[in-house]
Amino acid sequence: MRSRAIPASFFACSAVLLAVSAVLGIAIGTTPLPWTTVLKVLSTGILPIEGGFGETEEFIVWSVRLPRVLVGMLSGGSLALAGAAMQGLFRNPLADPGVIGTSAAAACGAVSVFVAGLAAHSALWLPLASFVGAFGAGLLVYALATRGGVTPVATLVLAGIACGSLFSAATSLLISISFVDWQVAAEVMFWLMGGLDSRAWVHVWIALPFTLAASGLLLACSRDLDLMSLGEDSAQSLGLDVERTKQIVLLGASLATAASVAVSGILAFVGLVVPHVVRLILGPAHRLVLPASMIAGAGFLVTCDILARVVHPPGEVRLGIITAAFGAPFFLWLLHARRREMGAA
Amino acid sequence: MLKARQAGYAVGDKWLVRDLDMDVRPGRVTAVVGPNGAGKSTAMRLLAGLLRPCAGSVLVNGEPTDSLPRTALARQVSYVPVDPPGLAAFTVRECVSMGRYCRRGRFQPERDADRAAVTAALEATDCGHLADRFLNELSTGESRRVALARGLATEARHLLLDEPTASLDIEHSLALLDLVQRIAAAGRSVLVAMHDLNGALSATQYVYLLHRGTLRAAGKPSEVLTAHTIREVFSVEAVMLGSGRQGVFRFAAKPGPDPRESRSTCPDLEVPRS
Repeated sequence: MRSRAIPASFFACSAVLLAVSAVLGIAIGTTPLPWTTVLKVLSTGILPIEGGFGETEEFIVWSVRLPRVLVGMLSGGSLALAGAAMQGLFRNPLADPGVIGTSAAAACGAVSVFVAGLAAHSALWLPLASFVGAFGAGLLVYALATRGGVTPVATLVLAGIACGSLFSAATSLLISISFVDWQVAAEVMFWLMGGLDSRAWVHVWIALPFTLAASGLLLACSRDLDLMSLGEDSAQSLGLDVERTKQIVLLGASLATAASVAVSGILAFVGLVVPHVVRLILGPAHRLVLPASMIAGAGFLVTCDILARVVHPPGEVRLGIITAAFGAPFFLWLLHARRREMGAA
Repeated sequence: MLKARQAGYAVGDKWLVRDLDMDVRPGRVTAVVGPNGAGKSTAMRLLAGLLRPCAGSVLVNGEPTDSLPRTALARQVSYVPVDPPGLAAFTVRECVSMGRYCRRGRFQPERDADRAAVTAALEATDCGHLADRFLNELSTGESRRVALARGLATEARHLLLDEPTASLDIEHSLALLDLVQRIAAAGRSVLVAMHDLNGALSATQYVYLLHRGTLRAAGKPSEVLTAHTIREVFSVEAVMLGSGRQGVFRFAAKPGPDPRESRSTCPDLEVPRS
């Protein structure tokens, strides 16, 4: 039985965990900083307190690690939010942001930037191309699945899978061409595995507006998503404009996914596992599930990024490997432990 | 009043229903009966505004339903499908309060009026004690009542129920028909698609008999549901025991070809002799 106390304590716990992981995320790295210093440096940015730390520490915190942690939060939060919304829209706990082909298209966009050699010209090309890929795929799949103003979700999934495979094939083609130049191929492969290395404020500013827009759209739809879970006929007869809801949710989820992929590459399992776990704890009401997934997703990704830095020093393990390596076994354990509820849900 | 005027719905060039003239009046239970494939569900969905008529029109208070915004229509007409009210682990109260969607603004918190309507709907359907249970824990009979409660919570004048007694046992289906009659007596109009002809005979005030997508007959139950029309439309033998609303039909399959003769044509059904 769910109780009323759970949502409040869940939000409190995940907010605290997010804050702790953020501080640790700034403290841990090749040059470790004590967490007290981290707090001091951060607070001087806001409060008029005198330092007690050097310029190096200030530089590491403000210019290197804080943007990295913020990009992680934005990326994890928007992926989990998009996943939660997709699961609600498709009435399927196994849906994730990639189900309509967005991730594959983002990869395709990014890889073409590498292969065309544009990545070296400006840091903006890469996020721009993957954003356009992800967002464009969302629109394309929606257009392909819509006939006469009606978009059946089953058609949407199938169109998404088909477009996804098409984009994956294009990506593979580009990679195989680029293998002539080992340097480019390595960069491409690294990007595909996702990561937050050398992320700067520019990436924060790229992701932030889209994450905000997407969360505004999707959070405003939380009751609509609740109604969708009753089935389309019931939802419609209760007054929900079902087709309109699909448009808004797909728009929001594509924006959120695109924002995330643009700044951190492909990250497996975040959009699937985080909302799933949140749903198991908080129940199906999207009023709770959507914001809780955002917070939990942000915390999860920042934590995974810390692990990526400490698992195999002095190098970094790619973040996408960490999210999958922790997400997948956890998910399997959940499937096993809660088989009955999952069957019912 | 909810009316269909020469309404028809087609998929491709096949008409699922056509030339429907139906009135759903407040204060009475109206039944839609007919064999499988007669177009009952299509007719219900047309009247509910879930399908847009390809011909004719469906009017609520004189306005075509397809010109109304969804929420405005939901405040007038509520449709309860035959499927369970939802599979996600919402509580019964949460599910029933979704009936208030059409009456609450997007960012408006639940008001006293909403809570009162939900409580009233739960009480009316005898679901008060289920309020904190989860949808996926309910029996079929309970699910049906919860779905009905959600329809009631919209406070819509017209309630359309698609086979509300399907897969219910005798006790629950009689209780549900009784409940439906009470809802109509309280001033709403109720349209019920059903297969239970005896139930239609005893529990409704008006019957539409559909056959192959068109209205075969309409009128008082005892006039429409006669042994003669049932034989013709449902292809079964029917005998009426008693008369009028107290009457009960006994049905029997139409005698087919002699089984001994047909044996050779159905080798699959033969029991192998050992």
